[in-house]
Amino acid sequence: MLGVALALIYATTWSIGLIFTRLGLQYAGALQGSVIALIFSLILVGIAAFIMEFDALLSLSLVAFLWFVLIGFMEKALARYANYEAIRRLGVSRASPIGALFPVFATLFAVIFTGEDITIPIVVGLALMVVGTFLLTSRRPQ
Amino acid sequence: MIGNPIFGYGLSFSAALLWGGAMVLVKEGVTDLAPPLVGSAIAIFAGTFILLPLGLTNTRAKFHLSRKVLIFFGIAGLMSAVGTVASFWALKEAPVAVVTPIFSITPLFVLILTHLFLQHLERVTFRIVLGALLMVAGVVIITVFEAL
Repeated sequence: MLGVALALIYATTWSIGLIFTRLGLQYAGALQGSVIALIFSLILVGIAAFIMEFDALLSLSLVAFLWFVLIGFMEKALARYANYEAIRRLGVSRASPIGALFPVFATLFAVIFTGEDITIPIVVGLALMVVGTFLLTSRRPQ
Repeated sequence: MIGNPIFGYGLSFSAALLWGGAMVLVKEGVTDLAPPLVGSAIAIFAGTFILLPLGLTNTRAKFHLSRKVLIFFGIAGLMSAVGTVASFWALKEAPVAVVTPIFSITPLFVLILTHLFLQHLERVTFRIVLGALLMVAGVVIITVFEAL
């Protein structure tokens, strides 16, 4: 239940952030916007981590550090820039649903690499999401 | 739309692929290696460290550091920070296959907010709404049945 609640918090705050991103993209490019947003994120989370998890920061292993650096490279740098540029080109109402397909890939990767179970409701749910994406991206018949 | 939409869709799919892979890495990381807040901070630091030089040297794109730019992207960054920590923590508490679909409710929220606040920039069509609703239906099915 806690995981579900936290996931809903993510969905809420992320969507608000995307609206402000769309507003900001009227005045700046995707790359610059990504950098500015990341700096603000870093200030907030960095201070929180320093205050609340100081011991964990000090005892962090090199493997752990590099692991999350890789995540940062994939998620915070590459994916964020691609998403911002997609929003600039397509608009947030078209770009965000496609970006939200990532559970399909996450589930596939989780099943393949970490042995998580894939159940029928998950398959049905993911299928609906794929159909929804198709509707979103396909052109209206002339 | 700006430019070739296929390129835009390609970028969206690329982002989805990268996020999907990152979610699995996050799950393993926050379970075995570091607390969610620490992992979030390192990931955001790494992303900033990588993009900052590119952002400062990219002079082709339009850029004017105005108060509006700082406010809009500043709020986006703060919301993203809270969302990042929440997502890392969520992945610590529950399986990837349960949590990540819930993240996909985001398009529905985006559509509502777009209709309310961005009508001057974008038009929300019936097709877009239907597509987003189907995606949310998929999320509901996954979460309801996995919770039982």
